[in-house]
Amino acid sequence: MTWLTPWTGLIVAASVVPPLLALYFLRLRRARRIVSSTMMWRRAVQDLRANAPFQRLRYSLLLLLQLLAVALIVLAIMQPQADIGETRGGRTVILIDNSASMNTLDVEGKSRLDAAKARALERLDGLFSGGWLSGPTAQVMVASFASGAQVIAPYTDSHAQAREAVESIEPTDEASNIGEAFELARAFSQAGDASSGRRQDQKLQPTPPIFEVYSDGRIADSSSQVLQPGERLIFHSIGATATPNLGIVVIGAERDPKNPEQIQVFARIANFAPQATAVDVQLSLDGAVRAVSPQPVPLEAAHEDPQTKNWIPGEAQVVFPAIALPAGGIASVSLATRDMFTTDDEARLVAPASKAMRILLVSDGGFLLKSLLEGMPIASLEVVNASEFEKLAEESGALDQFDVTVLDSVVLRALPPGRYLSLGPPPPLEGLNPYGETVGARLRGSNDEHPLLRFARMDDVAVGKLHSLAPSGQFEVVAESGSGPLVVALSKGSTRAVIVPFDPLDSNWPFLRGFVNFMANAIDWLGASGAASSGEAARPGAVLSTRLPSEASGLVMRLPNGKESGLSVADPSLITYGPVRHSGVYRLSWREGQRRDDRAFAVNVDTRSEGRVAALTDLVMQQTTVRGVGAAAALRTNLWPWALAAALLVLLAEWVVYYRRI
Amino acid sequence: MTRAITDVAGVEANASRPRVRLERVDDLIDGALMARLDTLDVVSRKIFAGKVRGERKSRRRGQSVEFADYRPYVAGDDLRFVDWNIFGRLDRLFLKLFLEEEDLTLAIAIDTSASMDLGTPNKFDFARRLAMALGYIGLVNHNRVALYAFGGEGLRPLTGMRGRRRTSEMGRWLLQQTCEGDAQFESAMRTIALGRHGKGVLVVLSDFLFPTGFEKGLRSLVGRGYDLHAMQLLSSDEIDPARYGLSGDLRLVDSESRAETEVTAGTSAIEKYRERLAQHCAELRDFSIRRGITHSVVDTAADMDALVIEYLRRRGMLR
Repeated sequence: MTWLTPWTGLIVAASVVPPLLALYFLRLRRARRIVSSTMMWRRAVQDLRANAPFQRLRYSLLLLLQLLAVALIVLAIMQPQADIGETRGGRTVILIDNSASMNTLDVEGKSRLDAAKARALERLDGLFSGGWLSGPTAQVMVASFASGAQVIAPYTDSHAQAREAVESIEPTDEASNIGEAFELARAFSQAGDASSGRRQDQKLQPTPPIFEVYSDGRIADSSSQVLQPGERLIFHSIGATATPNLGIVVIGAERDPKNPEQIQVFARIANFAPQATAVDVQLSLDGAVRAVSPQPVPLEAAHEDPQTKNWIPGEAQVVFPAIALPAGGIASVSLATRDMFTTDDEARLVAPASKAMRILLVSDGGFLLKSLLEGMPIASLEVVNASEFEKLAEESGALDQFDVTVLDSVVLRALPPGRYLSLGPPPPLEGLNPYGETVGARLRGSNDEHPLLRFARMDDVAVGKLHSLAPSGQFEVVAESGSGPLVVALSKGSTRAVIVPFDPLDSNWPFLRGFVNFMANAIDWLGASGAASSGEAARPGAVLSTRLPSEASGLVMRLPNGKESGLSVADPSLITYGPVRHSGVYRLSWREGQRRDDRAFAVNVDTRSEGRVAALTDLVMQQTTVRGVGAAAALRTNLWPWALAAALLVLLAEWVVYYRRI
Repeated sequence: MTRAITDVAGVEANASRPRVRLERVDDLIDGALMARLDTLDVVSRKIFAGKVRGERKSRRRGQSVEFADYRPYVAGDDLRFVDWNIFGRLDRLFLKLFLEEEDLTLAIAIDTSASMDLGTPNKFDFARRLAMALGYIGLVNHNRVALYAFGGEGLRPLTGMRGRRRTSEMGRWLLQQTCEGDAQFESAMRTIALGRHGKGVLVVLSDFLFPTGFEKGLRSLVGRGYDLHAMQLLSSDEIDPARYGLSGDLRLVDSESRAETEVTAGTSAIEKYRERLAQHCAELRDFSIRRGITHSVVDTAADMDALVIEYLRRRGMLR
């Protein structure tokens, strides 16, 4: 129950009820009765008046009806509404989840985001309604959150501004994280207090906001969030709790090493519902359907792991027949039957043209890598020493003719943006933090799912001398020993690098089969980065980056929805765009001389985190579980007309009783 | 407070009996009651001097045959009462004293103020019937009986009655009395005290609900040798208003002063009233005890036979 104007009603009640009682006493028609003497009665009444601060009201139907009518009128003035969680006068932060799962169309045919926005708008109406009878004005902040948070409107007492902010929230295909939103809201609360002089002048604690979260509850980091003292959270659960979903969690493609013009696309389908099902899957190349699964792909039911309590979707892999695609293109896998969450029903990748790599080997005479690279199906291999490389690096665009640069135990003073495989002494990359050497190192742990280690396990590798590294967070440690990382990967902006901080000749690695596979994986991973590769599609929320020829101009980015936006960059050799909000194919085109070229980027939703779209009724946080407010409960209904009608009926009854008595 | 009242039988039965107007002497006292009262006599705790020789002893030495005492002769004494035998032996004159039997005056003062003409059963009717019974007892025992009605127009006396034959006269006089005005208790009692010659038993029948208080009136009677009886007559609905239907929002009108009092007769108000009435009765009782006055509270619903034959005998007023 919500009271929009409680104080006004109470003031009216305080003003009306005492006079009503006074009138009751004044107009009371007493029965006249002659007694021997009123002496005793007078004394008795005096005693009563002296002893009792208030005389007990005697039963009177008329008075009862009048008080009931006044109570109902007061009730109407207080503007009751069937709602919960009213927080008038305080600071309210409207947090609307616009992650991918909020695009599920399971709220009366509308998307969850649309429903959340509608609910939030109703809530704003409640917070700002009440007219001139209402109390202090609400301070409302509107923010959206997906992989990151965005403040749409800072604290405002403008109803129109808050509404406009809510209406302007756009859907995204990003994952859902709420931590940043909390931090932003707290920062704005403290900033608001500081600007109003509360903390300096009155030495008060910052006003804790009330968070009103509109989400389906599928928030990746909610279980690690803690509310600070004084904060309150109201969780508006949006969406159905049993919405099934099928999605594509992985899409990949590989060219046949023997016939590089042939490409084989594979995908992994997941069923997030607790019922087994089957689905047809189709493969399209550049928009044209090229293959369909011969029969529906059976998918087991999802279930909860009894030990970890994790939800394990039923998965199945689909491998399409190899298709000739010499020039490359966009390959997309989609489900023939679309469900309510369509975002993950299609995944796409950019299959590069079957061109061979151009490799630059920077070496001071080592034979191992040179002979290994020469044995690979590459277009060209050029070998330079360290000083020649530094000269090339100084020439603008000289390195752009190579897809990958391999550093074979060379020491460089600087490293321009590019794609590097470094073996031996660590290259001069910021954040790598080399701090010495260690003798004797064995593998302690590795990320075996990383493309670099595909068929290249390092379990048996024994390293003689290892350069110790303390890489920062931007580096990914692919394999590590007890003395430091063995393989580190970096993908930042236009620089992509694989660092192996030991000379392979100081280890037994060259004698293991995995070394050859590792080198091939590294060349593929680094070399394909310029035009995307199988399984390497970006996620919504990520920043797209690439390198273009230095002469490139007239950059235009074509978005998945068909819109185009021009890019103005000072250095075309380092292009970043984003963060991208939606899944799909982004196509960057540029002009180089008279020729116009383009490069495609595939962006796929993170189905593993967003695919389970069944809404949660409660929001599980680290220390508490916030019970969600259902859609039915949150619908506010004005009750004051009913109270007023009841008051009129009671007054009518009072009139009838009065005239019957007369 | 009401121990005396509840001791009297018939209260419950008479309380709800409708009022029967008193029009004939038989309405005041019937033959059966008269027969039972014939055996009773008025008792005085004092021996009184009467105007004529009566049937009771007096402190005054007189001419009866019962020897009382001797005293030395003084000049002027009647020589007929000199004990000559003692003079012969002692050679001194002693006067022989005899107890003289005197009559008793029974005076009954009836409150005829407006407040008495109320109550269920009616207090004035009850007072007249009680006065009739007491007066009849006095008459049949050859006591001098005097009735006084006070209130309204002033004091109205009926005096000098003696003997059974005056019963009808007394009854008619009682039937003629009406209630009106206030009691003027103080002046009435003072008038009675000043006008009375001789001593005797004085019974005051009233509700004693005087706005000006009862103290001055009773005090004027004290010290004149009367054996005083203050019989406080209260009706059942005055004693327990809630039990007899007094409740709700009322405007109470004083029967004498016509003053109005607004009362919401709830439980607490009635309880307070009962407390105040008990306090009033207790004050009257304490006042009476300190001054040798016999005080009785009588519920007008009490049965007259039981009251007179049992209760008043128990209280020592009759024998």
